[in-house]
Amino acid sequence: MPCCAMEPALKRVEKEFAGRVDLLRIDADQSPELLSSLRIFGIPTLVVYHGGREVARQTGAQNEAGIHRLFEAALAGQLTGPAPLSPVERTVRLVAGLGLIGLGLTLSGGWVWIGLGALVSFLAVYDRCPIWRAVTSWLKGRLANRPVLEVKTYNQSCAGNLSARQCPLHLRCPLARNRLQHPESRALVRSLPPAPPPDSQWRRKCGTLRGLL
Amino acid sequence: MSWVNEANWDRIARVVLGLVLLYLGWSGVVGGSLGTVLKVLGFVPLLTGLIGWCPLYSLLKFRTN
Repeated sequence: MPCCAMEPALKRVEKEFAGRVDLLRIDADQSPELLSSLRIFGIPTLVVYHGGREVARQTGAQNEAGIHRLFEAALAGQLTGPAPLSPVERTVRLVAGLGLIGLGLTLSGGWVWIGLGALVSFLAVYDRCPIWRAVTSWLKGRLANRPVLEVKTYNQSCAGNLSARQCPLHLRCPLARNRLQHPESRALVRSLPPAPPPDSQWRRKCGTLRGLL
Repeated sequence: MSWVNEANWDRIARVVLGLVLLYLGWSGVVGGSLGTVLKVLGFVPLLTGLIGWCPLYSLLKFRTN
């Protein structure tokens, strides 16, 4: 979801990484359901996918050097997921959590404070907790096996005039392809006839997603 | 994160201030209506310090980071 301010820098970096990085632009005004399904709440947002998995997300305008670094890191496989908590973030949470626990110990019947403090303290180290990692990866696996939302979303973006079978866009979209993990979705795609070559009519209808092609 | 509008020192100061206000209010050191106010008011700097975003700063288009 690049904004106008980022567009010149994006174009330059896109040219430099041509063939190595596919840059897809989504118009936030015309594809709100896609933004919602990708849980994007700020504009501009740059979401980086590598190997079919989201490895980085940056909200707010980035300069050319920042985008360049991001792409280089993604290509080098250095990005493996959301950025870890900064030391300051950990410190703030730990101070607050331990303070609340201390408050609970000094007050009579302070179990609520102690519980709250334990929760805030855990938020300072949750990313290093093996149990948390196991539970979240299990949940992500479960969610990844849902029927694909993006396919439906992309079809809906085609001005409502094209049915799922008619719209060739979803078969061309790497985001949608990467999420084709559910057996039903794979079966649906296998059953579709080969996508017709893009013509001016559906190009116009799917104008908001022109950048995908 | 672009939505964070508080500097590190600001965040830590808010958390400490919030904890002090909560202690004063809930421990009974400050009683009466002022104590009741502190019981609630203490959560404001504590929460804004924890999340790093101050709505008042946003309204005034001000930031400390």
